[in-house]
Amino acid sequence: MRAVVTETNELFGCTVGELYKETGGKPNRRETLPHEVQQAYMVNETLSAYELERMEGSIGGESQDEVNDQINAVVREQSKQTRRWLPW
Amino acid sequence: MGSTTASITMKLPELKKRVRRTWNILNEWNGVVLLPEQFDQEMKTFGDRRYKKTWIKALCKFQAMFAYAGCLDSWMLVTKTFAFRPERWDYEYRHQIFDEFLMYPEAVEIIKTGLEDIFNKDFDVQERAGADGFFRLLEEREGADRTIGITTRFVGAIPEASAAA
Repeated sequence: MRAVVTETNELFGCTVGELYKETGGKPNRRETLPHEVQQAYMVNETLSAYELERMEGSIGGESQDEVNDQINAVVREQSKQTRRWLPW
Repeated sequence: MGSTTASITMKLPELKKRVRRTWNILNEWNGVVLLPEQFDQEMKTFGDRRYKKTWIKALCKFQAMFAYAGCLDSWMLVTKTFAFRPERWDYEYRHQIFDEFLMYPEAVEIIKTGLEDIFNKDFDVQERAGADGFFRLLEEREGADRTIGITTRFVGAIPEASAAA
């Protein structure tokens, strides 16, 4: 959930709710978002998953919260990178 | 309420920590600079902060906001967010969190869409199994004073009809 909001914010500069509203999609149904938006999510999620897998050994912490924070930071960083390739 | 209850009750310091963390994340999304007094201000709206119930109220409200704001796909709500398992830290507050979520006008529609998705024939079977926790949640609510639940009885077995026969 948290990572979804993070990547949405980085990729599109808005919240999930705003994205559905602005694009005229049916809320909470990803398949109703414009094709380019769906693709951007797909690419970013694939790259983020790859990056998290690559960093698997180095992600850790004393608590689950710390681990979650690190995962969120990885997703944020990857989303920033992905954004550079997007046409908007 | 059902017989499944969390074995660990969250202590007040941990509860406060959870509330603060959830509040921080919600505001991190808004992109605002956080001031400690803003948190105190918001907490006051939930009641007397000397009582645990006030913090529980805040936690459930914030967790529901978290679920609502982070919902890109409605099926995620039934397979992950509200598919509570006893080992989850928020398990003991599952009903209150869900109650708070149901306060959103679109809540039932979002859940309905999520259920339609997971029962679509093309939906991944393993993902669908993730919704078991959600169905248990609904099952526990049956007969309790909750606003949404399901009947787990066999569809044809209407108790009133059986009693009348």
